[in-house]
Amino acid sequence: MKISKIALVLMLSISIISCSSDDDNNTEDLTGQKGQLVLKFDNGVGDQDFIFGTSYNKSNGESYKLDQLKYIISNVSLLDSEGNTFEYPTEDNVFLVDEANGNNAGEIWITLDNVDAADYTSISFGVGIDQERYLRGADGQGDFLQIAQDAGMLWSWATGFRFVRLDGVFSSDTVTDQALNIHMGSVGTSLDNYREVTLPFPNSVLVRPSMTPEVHVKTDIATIFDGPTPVNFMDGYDQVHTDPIETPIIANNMMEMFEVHHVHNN
Amino acid sequence: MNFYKMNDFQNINIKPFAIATLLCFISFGSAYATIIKPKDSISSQRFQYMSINTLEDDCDLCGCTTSGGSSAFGDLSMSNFVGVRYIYQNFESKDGIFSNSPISKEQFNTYQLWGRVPINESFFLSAIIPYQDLNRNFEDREEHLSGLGDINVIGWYQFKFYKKEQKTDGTMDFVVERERSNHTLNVGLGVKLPTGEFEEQLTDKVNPGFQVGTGSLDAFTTAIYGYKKTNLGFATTLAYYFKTKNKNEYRFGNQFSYATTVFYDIASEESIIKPFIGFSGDVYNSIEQYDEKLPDTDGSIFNGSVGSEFVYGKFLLGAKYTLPISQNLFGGNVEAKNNLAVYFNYAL
Repeated sequence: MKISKIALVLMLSISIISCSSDDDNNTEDLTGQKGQLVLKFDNGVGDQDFIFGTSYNKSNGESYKLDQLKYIISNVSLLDSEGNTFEYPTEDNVFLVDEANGNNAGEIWITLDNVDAADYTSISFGVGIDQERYLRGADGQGDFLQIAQDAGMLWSWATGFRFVRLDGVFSSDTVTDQALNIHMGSVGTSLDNYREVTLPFPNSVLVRPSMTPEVHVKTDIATIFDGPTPVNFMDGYDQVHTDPIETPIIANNMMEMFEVHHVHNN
Repeated sequence: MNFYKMNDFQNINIKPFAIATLLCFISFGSAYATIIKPKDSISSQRFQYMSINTLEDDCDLCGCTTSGGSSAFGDLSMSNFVGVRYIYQNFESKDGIFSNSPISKEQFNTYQLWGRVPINESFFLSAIIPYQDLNRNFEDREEHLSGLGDINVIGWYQFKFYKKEQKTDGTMDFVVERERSNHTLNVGLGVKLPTGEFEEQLTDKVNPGFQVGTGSLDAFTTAIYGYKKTNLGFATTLAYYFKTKNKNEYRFGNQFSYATTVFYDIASEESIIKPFIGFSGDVYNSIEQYDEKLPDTDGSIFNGSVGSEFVYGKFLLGAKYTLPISQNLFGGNVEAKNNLAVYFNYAL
C-alpha cells in the first residue's frame, strides 16, 4: 500500500507540474537584433497550383494557357505588434517573382536579410515600381534594371517597367489559341499603375537572430481577369499593354490576388 | 517486428498456437482476454477470462503519433503482462497548399515494449516504450526518421465491484471470496515523457505528426469501463490528454479519445479465441505555437475496427485492423488510412 500511495502521489505531482504553464518572457528586449525572413510566392489559379501550359477556364467561358508568368514586387514593409513599421532598405527593395524560377514545389522564394527582430502582424508591398523609384532614372535602379531587362519586364526606359507579364494563348467560343499578352505597368509618369497591398498574417511572424520565419503567399492568377472588374479577352483584354483604361483595371484586379496562406516560425 | 521473437518460445509446444496465430491474423484483431490457467487448487479452478481489454488504438495524430503510434494502454482487465506490440499506421498528406498539390505518403512503424505490473490489489502500473520508424514518400524524395519515441507511464486504480449476493450456480464457483460483479472500472493517470526527439523543422509540412516525439511532457487521465456476461463483453475507454508546450514553443492540441469494443469468447479447453469489433475516435484541439493557435490544425476522426485475440496459456496474441470511417484532420489536408496493430503478450 505504501508503494502505491507513493506512486499515486508521484503521478499526481508529475501531472500537476506538467500542467502548469511556463510564463512567457514577453518583455524580451529585441533592440538591435536582426534576423531573416523568407517570402514564398506560390502562384495558383483558384485552388489549383498554377502550371505552365495548363488550360484554365475563365468565368465567361473563355480559357487560357500561359507560358510566361512574372511580376514585380517592391517596397516590402512589415508592421509589428507594437505598431512599428520595418521598411526593407529601398535600394534592395524590389523583386522579380518569376514562375519559371520556382523550386520543386513551384514556390518563388524571396529572402529578406537584416530584418529587425520583432513580432510582425502584417506585410505590405507594392505591385510594380512606384513613381519615386522610377524617377531615380535607369542608373538609379541598381542591379534590378538588368534583372528586369533579362526577364523582359522593361519597355523602353521612357515607358518604364512591365509590372506583370502574362504570355500565352486564349480560346473562346469563336477563336482557338489566340495570342494572349497582358503587360501591365505604369506609362512613364503619365499613367501610374503602381498599387500597394497589405496582407495580415494568420499568425505572428517572429523574426529573431536564430529564427527565420517563412511567409507563404498564395496568389490566385485568375483574379487578374476575374477580379473585382471581370474582363473578356474577346473585348480586347487579350492584348493589354499601355492602354490608359485597360491597365488600371488589370492593376486593380491584381491587387486582390494575394493572400498570406500561412506562416512558419522556425 | 518482433514477431520473430515467437521463435524464442518454440520450445513450448507451439503447434496449436501457431495455427491459431494464423487464424488470428486472418481475422485481425485486438480485444484482450487473459486466461489464467489453473495452477493451484484454490483460486485457480475458475477460468479467469475475466478480462475486458480494450486496446483501443487511437490514431494519435497531432502529437501522439509520436506517443507510440497508438496509445492503447494494455491489458485493462488487470491482467499483468509484458509484451511487444507492432503498430503500422498509414497517412496521406497534401504536400502543398493547393488542391492539386502532390500527396506525400507516410508510413509509421511503431515497435513497443509494453507491460503492466501490480503494485498491490488495487493499484497497477503500466508502461509503453516505443521505438519509431517513420517513412515519408514525396514525389521526388523520401524522408526517414527513427528513434526512441515518447515513453508512457500510467498508474491505474481498479474499483472492485461485487455481486450483492453470492449464489452458487454450481459450475465454477468454489471460491470462498465474494463473487465479482460483471462490471469493472479502472481509472488511470498517465504521463508521456519527452523521450523522443522533436524536430521543429518537420512541422513545416502539413502533417506535423511526422515526429519521433512531441518534445513535451504531457499528462492524461483515462477510465475504462467494462461489462461481461458469459461469453459476451464490451469495454469502453475514455481518455483526455493534457499537452504542454515543448522547448520549441510548440504545443500539440489537447486530445479526447474514446473507444468501445464488443467481444465474444470462444473458449476451448486450452485456449480462447476472442473476436471483436468496435469503434474509436479522437478529437483534437488546435496546435499552438508561441501561444497562438495555428489554423487548420484541429480535427477529428472516427474509426471502425475489427480483430481477434488468441489466448493460449500465458500467451496472448492479438491483431487489430482499424479503418477510418469519417475524418477531418488538418483542414482535410491529412488523411489517415488504415492501421494495423499486432501484439504478443505474456501474462505475469
